Amino acid sequence: MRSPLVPLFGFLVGTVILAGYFFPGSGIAVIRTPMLDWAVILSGVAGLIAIVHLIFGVHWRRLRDPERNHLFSFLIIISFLLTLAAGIFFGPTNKVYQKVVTEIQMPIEASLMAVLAITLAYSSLRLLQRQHNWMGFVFFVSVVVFLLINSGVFSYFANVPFIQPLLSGVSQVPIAGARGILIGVALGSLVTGIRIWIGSDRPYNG
Amino acid sequence: MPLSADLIWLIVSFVLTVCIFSYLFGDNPLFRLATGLLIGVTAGYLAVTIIYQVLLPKLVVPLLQGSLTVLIPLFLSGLLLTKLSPRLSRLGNFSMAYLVACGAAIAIGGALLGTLFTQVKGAMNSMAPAATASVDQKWTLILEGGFILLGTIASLAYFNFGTRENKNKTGKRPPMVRLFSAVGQFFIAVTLGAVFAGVLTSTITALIERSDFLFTAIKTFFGLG
Amino acid sequence: MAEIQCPICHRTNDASAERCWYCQAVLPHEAEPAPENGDWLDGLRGDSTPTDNTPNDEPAAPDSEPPAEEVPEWLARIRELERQDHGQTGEPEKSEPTAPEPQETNWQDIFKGTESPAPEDDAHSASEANDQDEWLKSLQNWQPQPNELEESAPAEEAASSPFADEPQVPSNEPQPNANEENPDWPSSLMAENTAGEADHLSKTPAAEETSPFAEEPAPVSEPQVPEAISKEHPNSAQESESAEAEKSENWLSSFRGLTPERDLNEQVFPPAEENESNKNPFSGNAQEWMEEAPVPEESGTPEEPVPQEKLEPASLPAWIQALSPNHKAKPSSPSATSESSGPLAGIEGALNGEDPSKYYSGPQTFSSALKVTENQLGRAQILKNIAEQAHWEDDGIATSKPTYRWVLRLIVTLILLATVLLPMLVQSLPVIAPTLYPDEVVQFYNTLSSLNSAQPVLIAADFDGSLYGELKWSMQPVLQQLLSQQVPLAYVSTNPEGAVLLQKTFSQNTLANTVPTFDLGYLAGGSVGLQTLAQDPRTAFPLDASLNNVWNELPMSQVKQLSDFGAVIVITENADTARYWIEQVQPVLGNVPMLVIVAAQSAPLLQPYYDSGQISGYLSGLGSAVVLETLQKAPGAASGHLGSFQYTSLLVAALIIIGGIVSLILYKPAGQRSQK
Repeated sequence: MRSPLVPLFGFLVGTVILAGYFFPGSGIAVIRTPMLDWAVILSGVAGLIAIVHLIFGVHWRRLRDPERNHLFSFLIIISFLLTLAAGIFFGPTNKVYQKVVTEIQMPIEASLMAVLAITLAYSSLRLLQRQHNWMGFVFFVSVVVFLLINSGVFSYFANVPFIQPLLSGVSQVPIAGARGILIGVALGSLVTGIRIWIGSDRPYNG
Repeated sequence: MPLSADLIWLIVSFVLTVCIFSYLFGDNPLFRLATGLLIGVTAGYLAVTIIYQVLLPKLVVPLLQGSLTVLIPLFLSGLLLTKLSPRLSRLGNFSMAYLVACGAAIAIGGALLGTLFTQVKGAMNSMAPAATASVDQKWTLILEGGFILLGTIASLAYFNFGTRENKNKTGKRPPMVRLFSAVGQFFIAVTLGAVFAGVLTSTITALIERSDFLFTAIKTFFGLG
Repeated sequence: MAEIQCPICHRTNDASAERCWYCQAVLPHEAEPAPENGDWLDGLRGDSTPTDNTPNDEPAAPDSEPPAEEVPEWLARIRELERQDHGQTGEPEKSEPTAPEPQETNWQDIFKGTESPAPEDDAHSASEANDQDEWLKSLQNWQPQPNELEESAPAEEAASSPFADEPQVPSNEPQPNANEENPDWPSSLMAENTAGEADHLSKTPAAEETSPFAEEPAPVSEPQVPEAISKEHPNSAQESESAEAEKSENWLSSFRGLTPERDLNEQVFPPAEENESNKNPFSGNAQEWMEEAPVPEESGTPEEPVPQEKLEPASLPAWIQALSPNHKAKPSSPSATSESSGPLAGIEGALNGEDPSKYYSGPQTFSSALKVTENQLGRAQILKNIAEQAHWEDDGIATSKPTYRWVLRLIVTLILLATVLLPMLVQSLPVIAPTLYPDEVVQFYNTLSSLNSAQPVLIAADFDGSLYGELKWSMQPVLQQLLSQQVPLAYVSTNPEGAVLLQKTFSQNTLANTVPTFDLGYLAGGSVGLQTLAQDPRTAFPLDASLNNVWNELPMSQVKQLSDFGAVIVITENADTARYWIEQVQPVLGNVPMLVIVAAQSAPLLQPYYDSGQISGYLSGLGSAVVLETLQKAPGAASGHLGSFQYTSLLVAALIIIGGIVSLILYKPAGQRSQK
C-alpha cells in the first residue's frame, strides 16, 4: 500500500490555495501568497532540472552511444554551454547577450513558422480528400470564408447591402462553438484538478 | 561595407533563416544544424533567465538578507533536486506534490471562476439586450443570443458520448442528444474552420515577415537598401 | 569419552546423556526405582500365556542402566518380567524392566538391552518367568489392527513426551478402551507385517524401542513381527518363536555398536554400498523374516480378536489414544503416506525427504490470451459500434508517385514566395483598404485612447519568436500610441523570450526613451506565477530583471496591487496563455481594462471572452493591426505589408478551392477503389 503522506500533503496545500479563491478577504492570503511564491521558486528549479536532464541525461548519453550520430547532440551541448557561460558572464539584461534571442532564436523560430505556411498551403489542397461527409464540407467552406474575412477583401464589398450584417452573423457562429469548447475545456480542467487535489490521480509519484 | 557587429548578426540571422528554408527541398544537414543550435541556445538562455530572475531574487538574496521563511522553498528545492537520481527520486515526491497541488488548485479556481461562471453568465446576458436598445435591436440581439446559446449547448452535446446500456449493445445515444450533437457538429466544424483559417493567416504573416527580412538583408548586403 | 549402551536399542550413547539418542530410552546411569505397575498392563499380564524363551546369546544391555527415576513404569515392568524370565540375579527391581527370554518373540528381544548387566534380580526372575510366559502367549495371540502401524510416529512422540515418564499409568485404562472400541487393537499392531512395514520397522528403532506398548507384544512397528509369525504358525508357537528368536538376534545385532557421537543416519543408514542393507539398516536377516511374513489385508477390518479377560476401563492419555488403531487422524492405508524408498522407507507420516520435484513445480506459466469478461466484451462492442459510425475512407490518390508530389510542392512554394515578394517589389499593386472595422478593434482603440500618464500600464509579453513578426506589426501601433500619450510602461513575461523581443520593439521606436519603462522580469510557473502576480505583484517581483528594487521609484511606488495599473495589455500568440491571464488576473482587476494582442490563430477562442465582457478589446493578426493604424490615422509596417498579406491569403484560398474541386472530381467511392 502506497504511503498516503504525499497525497495528504498535496491535499492540504491545494486546500489552502483553493480557499483563497472563495474566501479572498479572510486573511488566508497571509499564508497563501508566500506559498504561491514558493511554488514559483519550485517551478524555476523544476525548469533547471529539466534542462539538466535534457542536456546531460539525454544528449550526453547519446554522445556515448557508438551507434548514434553524435553531431546533433554535440552541437546541442556545445551551444548550451556557450550560451550558459555567456549568460552567466554578461547577465540576461545585457544588450549583447540578448542578441542570442533576437538574432538566433527568433529567426529560426519565425522561419520554422514560415515554412509551415507553405506546408499548410500544400496540405490544404487535399482538404476534401479526407472527409467526404457534410462535416468535412462545412469545415472546407468555413476555412475559405474566414480566410477571406481575415484578409480583409470583403471591405471591397462594404457598400453591398447586407454584407456587413452577414459578415457579423457569420462571425458569431465561431463564438458559439468556441464557447462550447471553452466550457468543455473548463469542465475538464475542473474535473482533472479535483482528481489531483483529492489524490485520486497522483502524477507526482514518480 | 564595414563589418560591424550588427552586420555580423545580420549575416547570422540570414544564414539561419536560409538553413530553415532549405527544408522546403527536404530534410538536410543545414536544417538539422539550425534546429540543434536552436535547442541548445534556448536551453542555455532559459537556464540563465531562471538563475538570474527567479533563484537570485527569490532565493539567494533573501537568504543573504537573513530571511528564515526562504528555508522552506530551499528545502523543497533540495528535495526536488533528488529527482535527478533514480535511487533518491522518491524524496522529490513531496516537492512535486506541492507543485502539482498548487497547479491543480489554481486550475480549479480559474476554470470555475474565470471561465465557467463568466461564460455561462455571458450566454445568459446575450439573451438580455440593453434597456436602451430599440425593439429591432432587441429582437436582433435576442435572436443572436438564442443562436449562440443553441450553438453552445449543441457543441457541449457533441462531446457527450455517454449512453445507456441496451440489449442490442448498439451504443447509440438518445435521439434528442443525437439531434443536438448533429447541430453541435455544425458549430464545431465552423469554429475549427475559423481556427484553421487563423493558423493559415498567422503562418502567412510569418512567411511575409521572413521574406521581408530576407529581402531587406539582401538589399543590405548589396548596399541597395 | 565413556559410553553407555542403550538397553533398548543397544546403541552406544554418551555417558552424560540421559536418554538414548536413537530411541529416546532412558539410559541406565544409576539404579532407578521400579515404576509402579500400571493398572492397564495388569490385564495384559494376566492374559499372557507362557511362551518359550529362546536363549539370547548376546546380552541385550551389557553396560549401563538407565536412571531409576527416569525409567517409565511400563518399561520397568517389562524389564522386571524379563529378569524374571531369564532368572538374572543382581538386578534391582526398579532399575529396568526384566528382559524376556531369548526364546520368546522378537519384541522381547528388544528389551533385552534394557536388562541390567548386574545380576541382581535373579531371585525374582524365576518367579516372574511363569507369569511372563502366560503374558507372552497372550501377546502372541494378539492380532494387531492394520491401522496400528500409523501410530508409530506418535509412538516416537509419546516416547519423548512428558508422559513417557508418568509413574502411574493405569493399567486398565488403555485396555478397556481398546476392548470397547477395538478389543484387539494391540494384536492389530502386531498383525501388520508387510514388507514395507518391515522396512518401516527396521528404520524406526526409536519408535520401536520407546513405544509405550513395549510391554505389549511389540511397539507399533515391532509387534508386527511376532504377530506375523504367530499368524503363520498359530499352533506352533514354539517353532515360530525359535525361528524368530534367531532372526531377532540377527536383527538386534545391528543395534549394537551404534554410538550417539556418530551421525544417526550414518549409523542407522550406512552409505549405500549394498542395496538391501541400505534400506534395512538393522539386518538383512531381519528383513528376510519380515518379508516372509504375510502381508496383512489392508481392508481396515480388524482382525478377529483373541478372547481376553475383560479388563477394567481405563482412561488413556492422549498420546496413547493417538496410537490407537481407531484414532481417526491416521489414514487406513499405511502405504498412502509411508515412504516407499529412501532412508525413511516404510515409515508413516514422515516428512518426504526425497524427490523434491514431486512437491515443487516449475514457475507458473500464464496464458498470453486476453481474459475478457462478458461485460467487457459488451462494452467493447458498444465502442466498436460507435467507432463504425465514423467513416474513415482511404485517400483517393493513394497511388500517386512521390515525384508528382514533390513537383507539386515545389510549384506551390514558388507561387507563394512570388506572391509574397511581388507586392514588395511592385508598390503599385492594388490593395484593398479595410473599411469594415471589427468591434473589438474599435473598443481596443477606444480603451487605449483613454489611458493617461498618471497610471502605468502593465504589458505582458508572453510570446516567443515564432509569431513575433505578426505580433510585432500589432505591437508597434499600440506602443506608439502609448508612448505618444506618455504612459509609463512596466512589462513582465512568463516566456523568457517575450521581454527581450518587446524591448527590441521598444528600441525601434523613437519615443522609447521619453517614457519610463520597467522590466520586471521573468515570471516562472505559468498560471501559478500569474496567481502570485494577481495576489501581490510586489511579492511576485521583489526585484526587477536587473536586480533593482523598482517599487521605490515613481510611478511604481504607487502600485500596491494590480488594480493600481491603468490597464493590462496581454501580448501572446497562444490562446491558452491568454486564457490563463483572463482567468487568473482579470478577476482582480476590477474596473481596470484588460486588452489583448493575439495572433490570428487564437482569435476564435478569444471571442467568447470579449463577448462576455472579460476583455475590453483585442487585436488579432495583421488585419486588425491595419484597422488600428487606420483608426489612429498613422499607417505603419502593418499597412505596408497589407498587399502581400491580401494577395497571399487570396492565393491560399484559391488553392484550397481548386484542390477541393479536383478532389470532388477525382473522388471515387470505396467500392470502386477496391475493385481497382
